[in-house]
Amino acid sequence: MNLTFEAVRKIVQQGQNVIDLKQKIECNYTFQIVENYFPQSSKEKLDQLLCFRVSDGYAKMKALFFRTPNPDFVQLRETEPLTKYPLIKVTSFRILGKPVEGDDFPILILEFERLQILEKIIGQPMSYKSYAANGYQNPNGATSLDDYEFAGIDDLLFSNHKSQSIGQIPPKNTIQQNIQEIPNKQEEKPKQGIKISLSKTKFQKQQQVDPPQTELVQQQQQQKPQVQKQQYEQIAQNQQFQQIQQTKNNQDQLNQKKQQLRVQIQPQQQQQQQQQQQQQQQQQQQQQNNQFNNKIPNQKNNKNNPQIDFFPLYQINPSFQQAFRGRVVKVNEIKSYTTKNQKDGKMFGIYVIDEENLISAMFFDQAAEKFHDYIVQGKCYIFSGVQVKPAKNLEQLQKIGSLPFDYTFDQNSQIIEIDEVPGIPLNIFNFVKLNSITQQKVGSIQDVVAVIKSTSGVKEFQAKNKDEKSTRIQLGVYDDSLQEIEITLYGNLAQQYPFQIGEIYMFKSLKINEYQGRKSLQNNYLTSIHFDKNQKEVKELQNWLQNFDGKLAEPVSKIKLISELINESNRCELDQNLKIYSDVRAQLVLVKNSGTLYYQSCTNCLKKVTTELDSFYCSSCNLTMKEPKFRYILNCKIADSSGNIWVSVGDQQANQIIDIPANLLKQLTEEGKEKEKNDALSKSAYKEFRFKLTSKLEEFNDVKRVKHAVQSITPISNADTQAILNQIEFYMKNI
Amino acid sequence: MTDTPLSFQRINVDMIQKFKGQNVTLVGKLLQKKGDYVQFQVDGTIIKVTEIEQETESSEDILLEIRGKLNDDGYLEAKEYTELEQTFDFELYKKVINMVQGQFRDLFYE
Repeated sequence: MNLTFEAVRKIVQQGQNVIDLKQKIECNYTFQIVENYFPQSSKEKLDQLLCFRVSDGYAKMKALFFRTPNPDFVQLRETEPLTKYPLIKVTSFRILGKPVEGDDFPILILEFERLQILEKIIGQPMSYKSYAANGYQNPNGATSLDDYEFAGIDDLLFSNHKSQSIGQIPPKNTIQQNIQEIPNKQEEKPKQGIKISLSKTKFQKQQQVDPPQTELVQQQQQQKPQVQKQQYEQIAQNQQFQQIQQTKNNQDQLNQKKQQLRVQIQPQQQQQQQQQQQQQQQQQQQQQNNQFNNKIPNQKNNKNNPQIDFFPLYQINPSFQQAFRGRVVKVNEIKSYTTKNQKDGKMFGIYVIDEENLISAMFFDQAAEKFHDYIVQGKCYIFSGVQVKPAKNLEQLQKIGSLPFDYTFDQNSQIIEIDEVPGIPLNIFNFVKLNSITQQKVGSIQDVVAVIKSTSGVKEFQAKNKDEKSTRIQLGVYDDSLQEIEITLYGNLAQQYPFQIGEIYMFKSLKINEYQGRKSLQNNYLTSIHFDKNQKEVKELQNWLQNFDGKLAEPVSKIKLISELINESNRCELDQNLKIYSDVRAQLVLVKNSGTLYYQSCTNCLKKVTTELDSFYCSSCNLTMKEPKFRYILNCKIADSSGNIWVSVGDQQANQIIDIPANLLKQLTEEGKEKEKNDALSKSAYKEFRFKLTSKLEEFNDVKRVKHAVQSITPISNADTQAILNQIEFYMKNI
Repeated sequence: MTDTPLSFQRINVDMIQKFKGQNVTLVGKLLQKKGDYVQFQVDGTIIKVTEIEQETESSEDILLEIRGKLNDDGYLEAKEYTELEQTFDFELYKKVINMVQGQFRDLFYE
């Protein structure tokens, strides 16, 4: 049964960032209850709570449990000290107080699972205070019973029953020296000479202690200038070593195992020690600004071995402004701004993610100029010298899921490019299927992953309110929900990728638009596009694509019932400018036989011409013509199961339902051929179509009425039904 | 007072056994007249239909939707019929009817 290493530290770190104390925090940590705890403060003394200290094998913290559901814990407390030490897996907790600097705080365990009751305490956990004071290291820590047994009693510096002061026991290894150093906070400016020599001894002593298995023993005795680089190589080696250990199944002899395990535990600790030492050193250098032989090598050259130590993003905060590592998932364009005092400046922002979190960072003025061309979206970097402040606009950051701080780079910040870190995802995606977009609100932001169906190619585009020309591309995309949708990309994004038909792309943070009832997607300042064949969702889509038969659902805008449209039309009477777009499926009941069925139109444009003596004149084209063009203007009644309405049909659509052109109809009328005329008009009677309508309030002879105009007529096809069937099958499959 | 209209449930060929003695609707292609019945091909199976007059010879297939009573020996007594377009998709229809009589039966019939 393994405890979760560093769980206590993580909880304390998390506690430092928690804004809402009532928040339930989910986790997955295995702890051991190791001690009774007798609280001083009244909060923890509540009758309904039981107080213990739990350990993760390295550090202890106060943990409270509810009394009522845990009678076995009530019993546990009756022996003092404890004789049984239960192992529990905690899945959620609450923080009961704010952590004091360097110390822990009580947590209230909400949900947990009982695993096992052990007779022994795993490892030798220290109080959190000591643990923090010791640089978060405990050489006698362990996460499993086995480790503990092989750690060796004679190496113990700390006993969990006696709270010995740290300095009393003569050091067997260099831990002692670390402790002596800790009281010097990292921000302090140390005296030049003394610090350097201490470091030197530290390094040398460490080298002596390292087990012979590492090859670097010889190298370690070399001159100081090489020390830093070697330290890093050593770390790399130790990591490899660690990995080798972990992959082997150790059935070896006890001693070998003991040695190896010791090595396993130590490099983790040593690595951290070394990182910290290096960091301290570097800070000294930066503060003193001198050129000791521990000069940091040219950062750009040392891509593989960056000399700066980094911390996870969740640990970075205003009181811990350290370097961090991450991938730049978005670089925004550089913009100009003017302050209140009429000063001009430049700025841009980036989004960075590491294994677990996302942040938004800004560059201003000189920093903006310095770094804008250097940072490449998608690459990984180590960032240091970043100013961290509590967020000014918390809501906005919460919206995008970013940590609640403002990060600002200045001219002295350092950004070092590093090799691809496989542990850091390309971005934090939350893909939705295209068919769910139709049901979402206009303006909402979504991520999609889809296949390119068609592309308009990159086109020049003139924005309405800007002078400069921009670029734009319109992509038709689809995914396995069989829904097709259009994505329009403006600006640099339009040219970022080739967007070939059949390729699969991931689009993050597209905005939903609506035009004439149809939903589409568009980029905004948050958008980023990614292409990676190995991303899980891309692979899934690729697999689906191979078996895809090519039949997509029609881009179905919501089909309205005529009764719904009639209801909605009431709103037009209140707002003269309101246009309602509808898509109805209805039968053509009849075409009005009387009244005007056609009009005389200009041969050049479509406007009505005025009749002159023996010619016709168009005022807008200033043309006179002998014969006008005849165009239909029909009134038709359409009906579905809910109601019926009269709609006006223009020439283009009319020719779909009547198979003779308007001038022929005119002829028939003039020749009195009523039967033929009626036959022509009834050609499509009772046939069902999809009508796209625009409804608006119109005034005619002082009467205001909502008129429905047909924009398009589509006959019902089997593909329509097939599409609906596909949708049904799709939903049934995915229930 | 109008009579309650008759309900001719739409079924596929494989459901015929369950609907013997009831009013059903079947779609298919009219083949040839065989004495007192007409051969009606529904999804590969030949159903014998009575009361249908095959009037004109047509160059195209005659696709019909026939509503009638299924009697116990498997004959369909046609009561009404509608002609179908040549573009009628029988496969699609079959899938839909499977759903209509299957999972979604209570949406359509009592």
